[in-house]
Amino acid sequence: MNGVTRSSEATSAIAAAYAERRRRAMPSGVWGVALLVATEAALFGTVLASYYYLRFDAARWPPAGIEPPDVALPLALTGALVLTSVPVLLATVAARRARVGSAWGLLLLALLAQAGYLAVQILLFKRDLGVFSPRDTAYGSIYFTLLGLHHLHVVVGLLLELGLLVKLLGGLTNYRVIGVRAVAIYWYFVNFMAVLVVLTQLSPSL
Amino acid sequence: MSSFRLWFGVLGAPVAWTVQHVSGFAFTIAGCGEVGTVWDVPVNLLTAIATAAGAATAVLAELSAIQVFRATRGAGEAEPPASRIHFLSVVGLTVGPLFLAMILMSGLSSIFLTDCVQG
Amino acid sequence: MATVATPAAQRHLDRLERIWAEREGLTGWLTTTDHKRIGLLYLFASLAFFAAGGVEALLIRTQLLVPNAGVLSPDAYNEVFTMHGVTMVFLFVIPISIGAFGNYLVPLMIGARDMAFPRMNALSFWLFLGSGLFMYVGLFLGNGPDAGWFDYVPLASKQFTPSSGIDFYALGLIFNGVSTTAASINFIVTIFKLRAPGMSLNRMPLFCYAFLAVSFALVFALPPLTAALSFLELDRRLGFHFYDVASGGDPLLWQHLFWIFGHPEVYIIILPAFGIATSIIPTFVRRKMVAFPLVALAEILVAFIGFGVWAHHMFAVGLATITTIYFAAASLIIVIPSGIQLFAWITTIFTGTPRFKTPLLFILGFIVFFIMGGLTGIMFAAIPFDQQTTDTYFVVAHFHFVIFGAAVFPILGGFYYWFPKVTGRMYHEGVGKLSFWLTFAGTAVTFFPMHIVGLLGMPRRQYTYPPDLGWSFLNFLESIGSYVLGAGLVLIVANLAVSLLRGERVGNDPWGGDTLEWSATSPPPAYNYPVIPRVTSPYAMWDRDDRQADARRLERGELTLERGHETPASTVLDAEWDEILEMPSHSWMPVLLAAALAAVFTMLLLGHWVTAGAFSAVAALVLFGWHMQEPQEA
Repeated sequence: MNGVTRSSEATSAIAAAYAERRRRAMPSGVWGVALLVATEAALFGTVLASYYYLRFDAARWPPAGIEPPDVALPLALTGALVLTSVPVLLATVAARRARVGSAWGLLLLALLAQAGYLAVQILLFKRDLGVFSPRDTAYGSIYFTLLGLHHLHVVVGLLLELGLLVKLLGGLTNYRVIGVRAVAIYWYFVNFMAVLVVLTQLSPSL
Repeated sequence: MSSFRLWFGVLGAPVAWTVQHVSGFAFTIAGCGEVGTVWDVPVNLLTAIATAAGAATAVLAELSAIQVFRATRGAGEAEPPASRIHFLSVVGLTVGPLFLAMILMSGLSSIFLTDCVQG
Repeated sequence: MATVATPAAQRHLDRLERIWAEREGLTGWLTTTDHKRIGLLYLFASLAFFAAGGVEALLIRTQLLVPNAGVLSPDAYNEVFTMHGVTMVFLFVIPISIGAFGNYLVPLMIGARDMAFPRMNALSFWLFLGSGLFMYVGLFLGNGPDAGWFDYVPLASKQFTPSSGIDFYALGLIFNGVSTTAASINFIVTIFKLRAPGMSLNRMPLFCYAFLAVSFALVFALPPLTAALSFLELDRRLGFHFYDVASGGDPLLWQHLFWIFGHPEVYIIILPAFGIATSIIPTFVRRKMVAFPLVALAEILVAFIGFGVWAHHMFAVGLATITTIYFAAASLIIVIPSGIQLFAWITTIFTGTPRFKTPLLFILGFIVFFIMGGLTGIMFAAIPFDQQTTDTYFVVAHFHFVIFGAAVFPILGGFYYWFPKVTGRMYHEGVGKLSFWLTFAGTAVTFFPMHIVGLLGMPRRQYTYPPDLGWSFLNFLESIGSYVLGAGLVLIVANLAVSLLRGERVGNDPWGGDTLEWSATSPPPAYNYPVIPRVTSPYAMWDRDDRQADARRLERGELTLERGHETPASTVLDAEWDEILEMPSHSWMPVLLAAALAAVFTMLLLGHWVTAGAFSAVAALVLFGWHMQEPQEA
């Protein structure tokens, strides 16, 4: 029929950008990651709700012998992570406009910042484990599980960006442009959850 | 016909019920849990606010759906989007009363029942 | 549709045949991404699990045939009823509804050539098969899960069940959940994006509404189960304290999380049955469905409200009434959408011209059992009644009426209805009717007396009962009923198996069906439709003008999309044609990824954490390899 693109024939950056512009609706790949985000959001929602459920069951939270968490560093780290949404967003804009080089550089920048975030978070995690254990109290169990779940999602996000960087070395196609959009949506979700997770983690001190 | 009116008509009541339902029962869990002995959770007041807000939203959503339904009357067999809009307006005006009923049943009962006792 | 193609048309058909040709042999089946082949794989795997679950059921009923029967020891009985529940829910009814019926029929009904993500579709199947085998390995090693299908703590905790059966359960169900989540995402995107041009939301078949509702429900219901199972494994294997009171945990947390999953799960079980019923009824009464928008709405509403009723499974655990009242209210209102559907179906049947063929008989049986099961369900919404009858056989009666009577009967009817489409042959109608009556009678005799014996006080999950409580005759009757039911099911399988070999051959549309799959050949070719259909109503096959226009387009080579594995993508609401997509075909990645994930779960079971991590890395590499091949390069 007239005017409908065969999008998978768009195997160059320019052609992919053209296919993106012609498209009226969100492509399947973007819907797919949106639903993945929905299901992971439900998972986080459940773990967060469990945190508050266990908290409502407790007269003292944290229980006696555990100090409420420090606020400053986790909040700063989360702020930094949220800021990485900017290069990620700019990378999708660049990819949709056939600017492979810019997209690649911006994704690399985001990946390095996010990896730095994760490294510091892992150090904080280990430090906390030295102070109190998930095997002693429900507070410890939910605290470390919530943080661990979030960090796992960050690891997955880093691997997705790494995969994209490798694929983009071969240039842009329609499939890869959708891939960049999909990974970006995943990261917006991770960054949003990071805020909810850190606010919950720090809630006894706030 | 404004897209907002249509989607508010379809989704307003379900979202209102979801919020009232989750927050309502969460208030009771908080109020009746250990933490209720530490913080004085005004369960009935919060329930009343949530129920009133939820019910009002559901009513407004119903009115919105009725408005879209009337505006697209006769479009049942037309080409989309008119027929699709009419179809969704029927959906909207049917769900409104059901969610309103749940909001009122649960909210009012919770307020009039004795606190934190298994009946 | 012409039975003999003109030369012009034949050229297009030949070209499509070549492009879409399925590979032969074992390799072909291991690497297939065709939704119909995957549907058949799901069908045979779930039927095998159905047989296993059926054997477990017959063992239960034989143990309960008489008091102190001594057929199963108490421990064995616990494993058998647990595996019966787990098998029937997770390894039979969901996979057969979604994986078999859904996969085979949804793309056909929306006029597409495949699912939105064909490789992920294959992955879903191999993950499902892996998860089922994973759980059964536990049973065969003498370590089956034995704490019931909902596995309450503290019984399921390490302290009270140190053996690894619970770990098989927990890890197996997380594994199974990955499969089902992937399948659900696939269905939603397929239904949203791949509908034939013109098939706006108000022109989509009701079967697809049911599957859309099911898929959304699964996307949101499975994560609470994953969380619950993960917390359980963390407690059991790493000594965490989510569920034990002494360290600040709460066993009710398990119950809340399980039932936030578990209640939507039971609506997930029945929704495909609603979809099948709403497909069979119009065809066999030759009348469009009464109140179409309300039936579509009701299917979605049942799934949605179903998320708000979970604590009705917890009315007897000590929650304050100001908490449980929310769930009582929702549990009462949720009957209304089901009622809307029942009235619509019954009115459609009464105002149509019914042909009482076997598929319609199963739907009539479904309606009878659904009314009964629904009525007892409503009784449970009344908190005082529930507190008396919880954990008795009254509950067992209720859920078997709704799960077996109401969810499985349309599946059985659906086997008969779509058998000609899938095989190109007709089953034996006389034997079909007999199989219906045997199954109907068997179901009634097995499950109806359970209401009575439950009200007489018989608790569920009892491996035996004393002879002097007045339960003996009813139990005996139920067990006889179960043998009759078993015979009915065997007769269905026999009828279909023999008809597969010797049934009379049929053409595209032996029933005068209303949805698009009846325009394809029987069985459909790999490419489903030579011409992408244009749709102007939810009863596409009854729009003769549209279907004749399709035939003329085939002649002209219009809308044949034959430059590759092509299918159209449209906008979500109004199905305006947006682009042409190239679909992936054969790939080894899905089965390899499933194998890697199976290894991960096995290592987690065995407690080899580092090796599990290594296999996760392998899985990540396979996933990367998967995306190395873009669809247009296939």
